[in-house]
Amino acid sequence: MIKQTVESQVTATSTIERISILLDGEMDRSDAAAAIAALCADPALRRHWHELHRVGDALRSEEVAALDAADFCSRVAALIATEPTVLVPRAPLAASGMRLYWVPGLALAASAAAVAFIAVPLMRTPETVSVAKSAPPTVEVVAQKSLPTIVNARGLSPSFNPYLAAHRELTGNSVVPRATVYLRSAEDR
Amino acid sequence: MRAVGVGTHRNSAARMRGIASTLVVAAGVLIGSGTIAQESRARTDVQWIQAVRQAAQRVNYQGTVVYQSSGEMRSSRITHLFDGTHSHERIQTLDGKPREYIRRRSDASDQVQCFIPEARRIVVEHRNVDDSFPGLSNASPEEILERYTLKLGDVERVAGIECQMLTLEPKDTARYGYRLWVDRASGLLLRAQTINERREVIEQIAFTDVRIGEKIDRAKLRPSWSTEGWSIERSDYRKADLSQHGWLVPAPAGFRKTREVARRIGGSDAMQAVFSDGLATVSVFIEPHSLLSVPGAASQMPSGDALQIHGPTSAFSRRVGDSLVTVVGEVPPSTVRSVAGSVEFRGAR
Repeated sequence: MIKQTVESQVTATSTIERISILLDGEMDRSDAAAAIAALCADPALRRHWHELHRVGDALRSEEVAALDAADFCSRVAALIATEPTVLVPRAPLAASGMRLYWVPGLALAASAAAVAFIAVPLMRTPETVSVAKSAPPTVEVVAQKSLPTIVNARGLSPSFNPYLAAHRELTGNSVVPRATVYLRSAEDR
Repeated sequence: MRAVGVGTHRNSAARMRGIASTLVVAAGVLIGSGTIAQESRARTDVQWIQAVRQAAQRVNYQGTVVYQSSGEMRSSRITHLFDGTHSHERIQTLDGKPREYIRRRSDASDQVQCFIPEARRIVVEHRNVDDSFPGLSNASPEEILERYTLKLGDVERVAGIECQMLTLEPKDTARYGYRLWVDRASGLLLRAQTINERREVIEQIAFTDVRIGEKIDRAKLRPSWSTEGWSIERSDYRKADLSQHGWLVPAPAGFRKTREVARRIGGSDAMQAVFSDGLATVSVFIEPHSLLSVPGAASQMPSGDALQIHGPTSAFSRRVGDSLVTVVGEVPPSTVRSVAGSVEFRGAR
């Protein structure tokens, strides 16, 4: 038992670099298949794969760092198993820097649609029913074919945040309340 | 959920006061003119815009606001007090990360403190009147009406208050339209929607409950946290003249330049020009030589020729020589693209 673990750790060490390459999405298709097969076969390697993701997630969000990872993943896996499959064509990416944000963006697009579904009836207090009927709030289309568009349901690509903050700072003196300007980007900072 | 049945949970004293003030105004109209005039008829288009603007600064109010866009929904609590010279506003987010924004505004200055509790940090944003272009401060109602057609809609209730619905339809496709629900008595905007060219609502902000015209305790305008020992970060920019640096940034049709500044954006030097049509705004950012100075910098930045849309916000990046031009605004995607396309480098003077 102990011997087995040591062996798999050695295997993991020798493939750590390949795992990183796979994680960054820079591995050839054929090599990736082999690496994924190795991942599936080796629990130690899977733990390492998971660690790398956790490190990346923790770097992007302090809340994630505090999660009990093992329990969290199993709960999410159980929830995903009960979800219908959402089929959204994956658009070609313009910049490799966006890769890590793009896939979560799609997942969020699906959950955002759910939020809109719940939110709309709530907005229909009796006095606003007629308005809601004539102009239901719409959800942004996930992908537009004719334009090189990347639509992120959670917001613009994070690399745009400094521009949004700077834009927000020097605008907002208009008829539409300035509060809107803050609520548009409540979590930019 | 907070939004459900808010109308019925409103403070009944406030409602009585609202009704009372409506009656007083109605009585005034009756006595003054001797005819049965609708309040909303009493205001011209220009007066409606003025009323909304004034109320936002001069009326005391507190309530819960819901913001919706791109399937997202966020609520926040807003408290506003006018002390005779300054308008004080506090916004507390109720969803997601706790954030508070405290704004103090007068005719001469406008400062916003953003409180970020988990980082124990305060970000101070400021706008001084002398930062803005001489004589190009706020667009007048008349200017707004040159670009939008104002139409009076029905009288509808929002957060339990009778509101006049107003539509501002754009006269061209460079900007979005708006629907506004305005408290007929105070002029306060209680609901606003941004409408795209397909007449879809792409953004909405609305009070779900509100109390207007009550006395507000100053303590309600202080942050929730003791901020002793928090770091203070000041956003920093200074007036600049982009043409002196060789850049030609023409105003989009129906917009005018309100500001040109130099500042830091995400660690690099940038220039920013701001355009406004009185309702919508567009910022143009230029980062000179940004694609040359740091090896690999290009991959850290929005890629060239990338359009992004999120709710009412459109953003477009384009490379001009070795510089990056980024346009961000609450305007249709075609507008940010054409603005980015019109930016030219003519060489430094």
